[in-house]
Amino acid sequence: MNRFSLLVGLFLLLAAGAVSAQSTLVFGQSGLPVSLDSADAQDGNSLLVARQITERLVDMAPGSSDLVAGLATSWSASKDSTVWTFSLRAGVNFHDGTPFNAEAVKFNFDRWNDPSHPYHLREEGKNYVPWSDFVFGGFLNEGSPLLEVRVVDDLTVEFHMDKPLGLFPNMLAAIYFQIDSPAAVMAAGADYGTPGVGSVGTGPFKFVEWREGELVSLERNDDYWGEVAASERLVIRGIQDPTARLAELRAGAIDIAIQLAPGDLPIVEGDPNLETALPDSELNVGYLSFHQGNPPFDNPLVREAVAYAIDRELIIDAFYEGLGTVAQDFLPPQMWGHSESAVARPYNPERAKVLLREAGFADGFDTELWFMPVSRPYFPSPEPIATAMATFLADVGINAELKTIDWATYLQQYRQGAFPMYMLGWNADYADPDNFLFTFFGPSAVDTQGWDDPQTRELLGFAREASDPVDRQELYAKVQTRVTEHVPRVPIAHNRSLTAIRTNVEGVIPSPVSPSEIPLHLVSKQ
Amino acid sequence: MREVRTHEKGQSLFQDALKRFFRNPTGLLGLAIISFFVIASLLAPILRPYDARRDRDLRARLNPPSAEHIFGTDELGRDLFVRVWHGGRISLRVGLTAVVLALVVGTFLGLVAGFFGGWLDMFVTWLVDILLAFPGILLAIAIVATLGPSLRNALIAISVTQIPIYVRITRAVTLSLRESEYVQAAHALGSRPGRIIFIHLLPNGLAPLIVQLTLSIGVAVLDVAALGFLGLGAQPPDPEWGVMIRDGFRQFLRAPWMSIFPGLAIFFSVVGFNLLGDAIRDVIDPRLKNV
Repeated sequence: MNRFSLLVGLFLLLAAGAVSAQSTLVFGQSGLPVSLDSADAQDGNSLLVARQITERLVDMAPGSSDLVAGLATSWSASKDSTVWTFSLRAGVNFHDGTPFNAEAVKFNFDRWNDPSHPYHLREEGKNYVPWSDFVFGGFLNEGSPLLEVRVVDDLTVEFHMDKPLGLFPNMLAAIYFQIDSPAAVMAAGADYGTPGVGSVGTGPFKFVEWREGELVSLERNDDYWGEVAASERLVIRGIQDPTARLAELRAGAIDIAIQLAPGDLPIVEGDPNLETALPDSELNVGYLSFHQGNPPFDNPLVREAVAYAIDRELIIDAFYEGLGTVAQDFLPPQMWGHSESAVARPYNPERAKVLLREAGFADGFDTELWFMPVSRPYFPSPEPIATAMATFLADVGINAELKTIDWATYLQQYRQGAFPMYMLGWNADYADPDNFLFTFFGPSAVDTQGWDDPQTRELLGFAREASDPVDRQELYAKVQTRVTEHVPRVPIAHNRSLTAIRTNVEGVIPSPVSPSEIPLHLVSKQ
Repeated sequence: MREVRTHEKGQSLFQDALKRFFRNPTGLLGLAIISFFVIASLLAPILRPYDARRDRDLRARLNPPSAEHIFGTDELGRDLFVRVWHGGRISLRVGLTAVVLALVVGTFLGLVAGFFGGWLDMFVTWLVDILLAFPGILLAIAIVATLGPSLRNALIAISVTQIPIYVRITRAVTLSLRESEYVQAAHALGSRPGRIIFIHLLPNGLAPLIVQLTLSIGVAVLDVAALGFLGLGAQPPDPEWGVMIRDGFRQFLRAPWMSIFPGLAIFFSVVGFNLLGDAIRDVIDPRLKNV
């Protein structure tokens, strides 16, 4: 009898343990955050965590890149799209109890945009690179289109621009522009977003603690305005090596693992406790770029020959494990902005040889092909992909020496025209063709590709300012046609990153924009 | 010498050494392994011409060893047997060149330093001490990092790390021979330093150098592979053994044969050179004669 009650007691204890474990969701990514101050963070590891705590005015629907109401319920532009008016969600409070309102929005945007704002704190180490470099092109009076944020009433804000900006809401849906509690930012100053302070927002989870080198722990926000989180606690762990991440997932130490190596797909599929969570597609593109300052790539015939010489279908079959697709242009297939006349050149080595002969290189030539030293979603294994591409080039007589250098130097030098041919790619910040085409072929193309084409720049500028989607579609189609004609780059592949979950986890909706966009409050564990 | 062999016919040093070498089983094993690698490397371009720049068969990726591909295939569907075979050419060529280069430079410095002494000796010894202060492979990595990763620079780096050994050996031999009577006699007859160094000193100091040369090639082969593995030596698509192990490392759980076969090739070639070197030392070191 005694033994029996002991057994029952043990069983109850175990059951209790199981219950508490079940309401904690453990998420594994490649590292811990750098900062939880989202507008000051550039990396996916920071932004995924920040995204659970703080929210944007304009959000994306789960599993899609469609814009939906976030902290703003609706928005509209003036006729020339120079003034944007946003209506804010009523009755929302930050985790510290202060109200979310128009003043809070103004505080956040001024903090990011205005270098003279008392909490901009550039001298103290905040730099807001996503605001200035990735999306808006500068700070106030230094190239930013945003001139003023005006509080109309408690729940209405106006954004005044110096020129028409049709895609302002799309830009605000970029994962960086999350609204933080002004009271918390003022209290912490330059320390806001660091491990000791964390961040304070309106999101489904509240910051609890950040143990450096170990984990970040969040708890459910029971007063959340939307669907309250299914798990009581959310723990985010940083595990750098994808193979180690998979091992922990298989052992049950974590419930969700993102960005696994594509080559591990058969292992995930073979494990009865695991399943994959793949988006239908993901907004990225990997490409092969030329720098036209390096002869013979100043000759369009030579660039076209390279495009014909590489069998991209075979490469994607071989190295993407069925997760990738051949890129026809520089936009992911599910995005608008394509042009029917702009389609990638098919594999045709004979045509490549003819073009090289026409260009005066009947005997081929020697050059360099630079490949990235790190794996990125769009090129999961750059070195063998580069080696394969070089063999295709050798078939038509182009002798490309394979070269690489450390990642930070690589990212500096490709802009300086140091690489005749190089591999690189892009993951979207916001779901708009502008985020791809303006980044690739806008003003930066002069540096990155030695391609100085005023006509393309003009088209991209018009598309940025136009507000009618039909006009914009037409402008982007023209850009794509021109790019396909001039071949400053060869599009190679779109890929999907591999997320795996344990089978007792439900509600994981992978985002087509980025693996950091998974809304974890919708995820439950049985 | 325990007895005076007056009844025996005189033997040259070389004949004597050769005779003893053929009585040394490990030495013969080493020689057999090295001969195998050398002959295979020499025959490779004749029996199976190979162009790494064009080699690919993306439909036959990561095939395990089979009758068609006895070592299996790699990530690009390349036949590993052919690549390991041709990889031997790179390893042996680079190993041998690096060591001979180090031998020439090191021996010259050692002779000059030992013969002239004085500030020249101090300077050379000081230089050698600095080089010896770093572990060989670390020094090689530092040199390649400065020059840029390539097979040629790896060769230079490995060569530089080997120089101090030859300087030390030659200098020690020169110091002891400098005072010997036949050198004194040459001096007295008015021979110039150049003549004394190259006609009298060098030939008499060759034995330890030959031993060291054989042992060094093994080390150099290993260093070439190490630098290749670190991405600092041979570059893809060259079929260098270290580079091949690194390629295989990425796929180790799925395709272990990608690393195993080049690893075995490194193992056997290094063991071969070491056995051979040990045997040569046993054979030509007079102190061990007839023991």
